[in-house]
Amino acid sequence: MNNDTQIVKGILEGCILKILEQEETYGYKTVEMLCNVGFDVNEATVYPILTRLQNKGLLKIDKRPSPYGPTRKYYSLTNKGKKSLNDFQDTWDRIKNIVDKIMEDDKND
Amino acid sequence: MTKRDKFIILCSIAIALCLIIGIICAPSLSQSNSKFWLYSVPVMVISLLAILAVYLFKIQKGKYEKMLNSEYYQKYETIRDIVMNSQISNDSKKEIKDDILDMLISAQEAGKTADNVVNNPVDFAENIIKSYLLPERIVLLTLLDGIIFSIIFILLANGVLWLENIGENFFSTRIDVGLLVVIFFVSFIVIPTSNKPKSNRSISTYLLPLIITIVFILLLGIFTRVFSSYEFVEQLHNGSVNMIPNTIILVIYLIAIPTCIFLKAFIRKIFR
Repeated sequence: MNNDTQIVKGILEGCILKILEQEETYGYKTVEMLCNVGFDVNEATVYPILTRLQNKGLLKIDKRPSPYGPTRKYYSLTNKGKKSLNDFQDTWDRIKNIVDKIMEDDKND
Repeated sequence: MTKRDKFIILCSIAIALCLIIGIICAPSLSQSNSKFWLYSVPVMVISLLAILAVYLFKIQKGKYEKMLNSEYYQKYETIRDIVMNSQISNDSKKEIKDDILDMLISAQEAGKTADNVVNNPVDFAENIIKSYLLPERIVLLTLLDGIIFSIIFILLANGVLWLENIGENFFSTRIDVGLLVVIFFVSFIVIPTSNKPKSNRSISTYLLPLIITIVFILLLGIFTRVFSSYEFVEQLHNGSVNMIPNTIILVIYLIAIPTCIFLKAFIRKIFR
């Protein structure tokens, strides 16, 4: 999967918002969670998305020391982030239905 | 010590040596013993302290940076250098540095290879910068930096020229047009070029800004010789300008610097 395409970036943003809605977590753990569900991503893909979401005001951060020493940022959703996640969910459901329909039609033909 | 560290420390030693040799050999100083010690000792001490400062601020690894192995450290160093030279605010730079360190240390402790975590550190750093600032904003901030640098260079050049003729009025000091062209060239072309992310981090890429400046000065020299019959070129070669003719202009320059700094902060905060 090419993670640089706009569509994958958009989907990743939505998935990251969902992960952070369920659990307040930090950058490296987010990457692990995405990899565990099947995304082929690394820190270099996920970190700029996290900073972009943070700069858009969708994420709030809490800084705590990590077990290894440096300060670690824990991300969670702001109200704006929750609204953005709902918007993503609606858009995703709509697009998924449309794409499924087209794919089904293609199979039936 | 990485290749980049060795290069930086060697450059600082070379510059310090040039300054020390220059001050020892300066004919105006070598004739007078008291003048020689008055000027040369502070210059020598400052030159040697500058090497120490370069080591402490640019080379010495921080507490957590030491935790990274060489493979990870090289990636980290590339990302850190690009982010630090970018137009992002200082607070954000520090935040990014801590984030990257935490991320890389965590990945290293989990047994991942550095290539799996960050395949292309230059692209990674550029993506981080883009997540903070739109490219158009970066152009605007670079332009403001150019204005700040050129004002500082003009003030310094005017000050040094005035010190050479200390009896004269400060506001009658004139700067050569050629020097002014070089000041603008360095402020708006060389400094932004040297701060641009480089995918190829060989020694030649570090020397590029210096090479560009030397070539520019040579071309300017050849151009003014070949076309010396034209009045405009003659002005460029031998002309001089009074850049600070009175107190009002000086105050405008001095106000322009904090104004540009304020505008930069405003652009970063409001027009992300």
